[in-house]
Amino acid sequence: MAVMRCEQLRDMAPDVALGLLTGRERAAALAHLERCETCRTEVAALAGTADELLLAAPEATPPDGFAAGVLARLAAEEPVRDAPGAPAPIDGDRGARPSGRRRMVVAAVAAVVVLVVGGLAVALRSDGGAGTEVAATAVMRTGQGQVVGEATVSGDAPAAVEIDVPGWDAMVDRWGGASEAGYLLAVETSDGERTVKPAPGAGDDDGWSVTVDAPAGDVTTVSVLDDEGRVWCSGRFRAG
Amino acid sequence: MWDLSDEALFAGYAAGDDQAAAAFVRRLERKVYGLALAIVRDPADAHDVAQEAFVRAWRFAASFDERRGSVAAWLLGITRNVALDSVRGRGRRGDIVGDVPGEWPADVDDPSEVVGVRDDAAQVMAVMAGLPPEQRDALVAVTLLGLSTREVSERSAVPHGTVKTRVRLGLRKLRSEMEGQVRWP
Ligand SMILES: [Zn+2]
Repeated sequence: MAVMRCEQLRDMAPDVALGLLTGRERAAALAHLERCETCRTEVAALAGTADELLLAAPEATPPDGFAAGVLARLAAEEPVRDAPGAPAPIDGDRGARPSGRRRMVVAAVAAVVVLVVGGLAVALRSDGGAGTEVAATAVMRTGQGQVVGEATVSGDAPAAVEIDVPGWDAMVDRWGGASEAGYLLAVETSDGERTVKPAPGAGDDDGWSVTVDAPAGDVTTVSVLDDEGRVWCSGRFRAG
Repeated sequence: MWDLSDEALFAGYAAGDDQAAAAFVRRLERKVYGLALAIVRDPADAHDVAQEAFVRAWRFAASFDERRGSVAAWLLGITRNVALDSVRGRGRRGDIVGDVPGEWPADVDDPSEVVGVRDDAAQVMAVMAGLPPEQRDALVAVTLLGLSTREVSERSAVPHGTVKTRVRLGLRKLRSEMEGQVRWP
């Protein structure tokens, strides 16, 4: 398929924002969005509008005890948040940040992934300790701007990129068919280098990790691609 | 506590502050449960879906991005996804189509007990009410029920191209109207 131009993309921007495209059309649109910041902004704005539309949903009063039930379920998850193997606390000078954020990343995924994250923390520590600090985080989004997970980067040449996509199964459901041949992780650094590696585990546990031969501070983006080169989700790293 | 913004309460909810968590759930439970009920159509299922949505919001709190929109809209997006998963899992999606658009948007004059989301919600409802009905219905079928334009076309016996046009026009119009109401500093 020929490269899609901005005006073609603009025509179908609402379809992209609403996740209505499939197959080649969708692949072409996402390929354009990966390269074009202007169109990405446009699609994200339309996706935001579509989200706000839900505010007009009818309201209804839930049964008595609803809130108490939610709080009880959160309390039941506490052991997961404090599980051994959770990454070491980020250093003290960030005390102003809500500690819940880090715990959330741990709790965001199933126990299997907690073990994976824990394993990584241990591996980095035995590497010399300095690498455990997360240098930057990225929100993983689909081409239509939908948030599906988070990535972190830490370490110093090699940098370890950790990707958690809790919404992976839902994405595969929605867009039909997992890639038989597995997925690829593409990591870009500030010098324009692009490293593409097979993603281990094909997303079975909603998480991947990959190392690149560069300091964490140089890593700019990470994307999850399928075997046809389509971008399923990507994120841009921001320090802190 | 009740003077705090949704986003401030959500920060407390995410951090595990019991008081903020209770206030956050109570503030948004009618919205979340109402949307769940509109999609799954069964009170017991809606209860489970709504609870699951709050739990997921807590788990994925780190991925909420304030620059992209309100926490209420984000939470409702999660609710919709959980509800659609639940309905699809039972293969019942077909049953629920057709009668939802009539009650959407919710009555603009309905006095809401919901603090915080009230203004945003009223604005969206007003803009939605101003859309041509055929655009509004097409948009609702796609955004709320998760239907494809082809499915909407088949169910409503309207040509596929027409449905696509309605959805595009509706979303663009909604966006420009809502932007028009944003006050810049
Ligand atoms: Zn473009």
